[in-house]
Amino acid sequence: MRGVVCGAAALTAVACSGPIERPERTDKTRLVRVNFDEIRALDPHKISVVSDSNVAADQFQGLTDLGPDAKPIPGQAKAWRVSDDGLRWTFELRGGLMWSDGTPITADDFVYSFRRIINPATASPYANLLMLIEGAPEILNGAAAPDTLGVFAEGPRTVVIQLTAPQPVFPEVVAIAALVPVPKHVIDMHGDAWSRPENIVSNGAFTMQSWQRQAQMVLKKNPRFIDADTVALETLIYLPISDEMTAVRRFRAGEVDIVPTFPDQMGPVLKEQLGTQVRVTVNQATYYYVFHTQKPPFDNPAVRRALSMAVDRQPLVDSILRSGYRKALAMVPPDTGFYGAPSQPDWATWTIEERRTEAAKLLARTGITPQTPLDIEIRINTSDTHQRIALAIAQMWQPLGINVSLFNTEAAVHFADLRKGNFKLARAGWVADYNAVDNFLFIFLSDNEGLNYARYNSPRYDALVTQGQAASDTTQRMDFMRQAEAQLLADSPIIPLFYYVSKKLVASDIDGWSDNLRDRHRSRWFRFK
Amino acid sequence: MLRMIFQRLIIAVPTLFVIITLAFAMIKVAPGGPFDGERALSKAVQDNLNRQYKLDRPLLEQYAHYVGGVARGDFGPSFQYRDQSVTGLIRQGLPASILVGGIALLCALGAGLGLGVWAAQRAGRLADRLVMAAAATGLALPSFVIAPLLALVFGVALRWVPVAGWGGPGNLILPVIALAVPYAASIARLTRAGVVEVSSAPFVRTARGKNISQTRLLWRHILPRALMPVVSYLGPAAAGILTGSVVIETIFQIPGIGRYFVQGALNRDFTLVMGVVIVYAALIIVFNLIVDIALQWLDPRTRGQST
Repeated sequence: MRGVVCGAAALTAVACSGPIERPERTDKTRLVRVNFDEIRALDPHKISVVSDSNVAADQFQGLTDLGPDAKPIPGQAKAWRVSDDGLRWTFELRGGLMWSDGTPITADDFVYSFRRIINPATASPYANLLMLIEGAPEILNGAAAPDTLGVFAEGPRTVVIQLTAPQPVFPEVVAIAALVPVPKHVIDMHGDAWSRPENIVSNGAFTMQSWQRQAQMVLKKNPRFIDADTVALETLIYLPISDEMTAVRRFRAGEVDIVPTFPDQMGPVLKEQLGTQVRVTVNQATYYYVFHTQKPPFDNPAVRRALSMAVDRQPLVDSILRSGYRKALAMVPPDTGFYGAPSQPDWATWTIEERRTEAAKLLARTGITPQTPLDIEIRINTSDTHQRIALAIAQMWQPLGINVSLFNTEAAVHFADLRKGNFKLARAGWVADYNAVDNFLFIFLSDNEGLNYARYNSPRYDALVTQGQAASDTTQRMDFMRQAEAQLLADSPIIPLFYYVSKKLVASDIDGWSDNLRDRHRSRWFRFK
Repeated sequence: MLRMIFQRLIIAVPTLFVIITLAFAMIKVAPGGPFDGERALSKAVQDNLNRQYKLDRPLLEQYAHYVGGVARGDFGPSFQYRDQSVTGLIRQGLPASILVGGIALLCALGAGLGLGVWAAQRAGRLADRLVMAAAATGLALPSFVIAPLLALVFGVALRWVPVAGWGGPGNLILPVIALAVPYAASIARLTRAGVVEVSSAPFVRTARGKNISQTRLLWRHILPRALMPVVSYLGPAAAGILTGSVVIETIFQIPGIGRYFVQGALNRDFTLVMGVVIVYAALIIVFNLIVDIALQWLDPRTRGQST
């Protein structure tokens, strides 16, 4: 349905091309930001989608925060240090921290909040981000009490977090919107209703003014925010617009200032009409196909390797996606924290003809030839783009004796099937939670039930990732990770296809917008020229 | 008449119960759950969510729990909108859907009846053909084409009205037009057909012979009979238009409940879908009752009878 809507709308939009002038801005303290969809939770510990996270990051601030470039900067903590073994992090809070109702914020608020996230009763979708904190896995499984978590207050202004393995990017982890502190005194008073617009109290750059669900959310500058004097906007309005074309039309009419995405096929037209207001940036997110490695014929690594090798990624990004995506031969995107040059499969430098020849040889050895073809099914979740990509790949495989059929289901069914293992080959994707290699590679650990759709089980890979995670020396850590990824690529439980891009429309008179890998944009940095 | 109303209201309770049971069964048969999405969750997190929403309990227990809640007027918590009750979501969204739908219904009635009668009086002539061609176009054009076109022409190009959004009276104009067009077209066609048919009935010819004025003939004799198909059509149509259209609400960003049905189904937000189904079913029951009362009143053969 949405595809039809988008398609029809795109046609009409193309019909009126040419540069578009937006009307003059009258109020330079009020910014209108579009969210992908209506948010699902105001309680930061219960957020699950990007829209939720945008609002939570504007209303709340964690121990650290993200600068315009999405690099970690001091947030509620002014400084932090880590012990030599990389396991004990100490965060010093700033003086004069206050909730928006004037109640002082102390280290105990942070201890309370981390325990609340990991508490099974909270059912926080992002609880697994805390798994590297001492005691977290046992608490999440209900085997231990939340107060056994390795987070402590040492006096009113010091928060200590004890990890079970080093994490060099930990300051970036605690900046994540799902891990911010929440006001215990308000939760004690209202229970689950604390996050209703009339009750909510926050500590970030903006606070709740009003919210009409599915219509608009109005946030006001929080005068008690620790860095309030650096916040230029007085009013921040979030509009939930799930139809991408509606958002584009409203941007063209000057009704909104930031649009979070637009349809891929609109890229060239919008570039022509809106010029530099169209911002396309590479992201830390990977689109890949996953094999069920326990089911024939994909229990044979040679078959998986051959199929991965035979996919020519360049036409996918150039002709189908078009909006500046980058092809992927590995799981971890380039420029991921401390990783340097990512691992590549051994065939990365071969020509596509060489790859096809080798793939045909590998398949022939397992009895798959154009004369004795193999029928396989690619599972995708409903989307025009997924379908076109699958069809293109089917064509690339056909000369090798692979007959592809597509199996298309809605997202809820698709991902339930992946989780339960009801597939042989399917489309999947991963968006990094933070800028770290292990946030990509942990997916394929053999015990990662729920995320390791491939049921990939390699003791060597597990050992390398675990050794990497245990190493406190960054160079050593990255070395293990690179070896682990090389192992992953050699075993080919997945076919990495491309890295996502973020596609935004940003009004030309906004200052403080910085395109970044993480696609994180706190509204506190925005001001009008 | 009173007895009929009473009987129908009594039957409504088991009807709703059957609808709830069938809808519950269908939702539970559908594969996938509310926490299956693009972003995978670890098993521990998934288990905690299922426990929180009692999805780990046996189906019968879930059903009994749900029906018990509905009997108390509690539609349960939404699975997607955390810490929100379905009752609260519907209470917030229904007024917007009813406002847009109600105005659209009135506009559709005015335009449809007027054009239908006007065309019928010119049956076979150019004016009639033009009106009927326009009505056919209105019916054939899907709202996902009309709506973005309206927004593009009157919002982006001419800047007469807002492209989308909610809050001012200006925001109502485009969605009302987009929503009303197909209904107006249907009503015009039904009205024209009815008026043309009744106009040639023997009793109308007799009335004409008695030298009754054209206006009186139309209002007293033709319309009551001619409008019966329109009234029958209006029952389900009103329930449909008042509970919102997913396309119109999405394109014009109206905070109604129309999109909850489709989005809720796609997200496996079981309780939200059930809530919307119950509201829709209740409205259908009410409007069908109103239609039957109106039909009795319109039909001179039953008008004035007490049963």
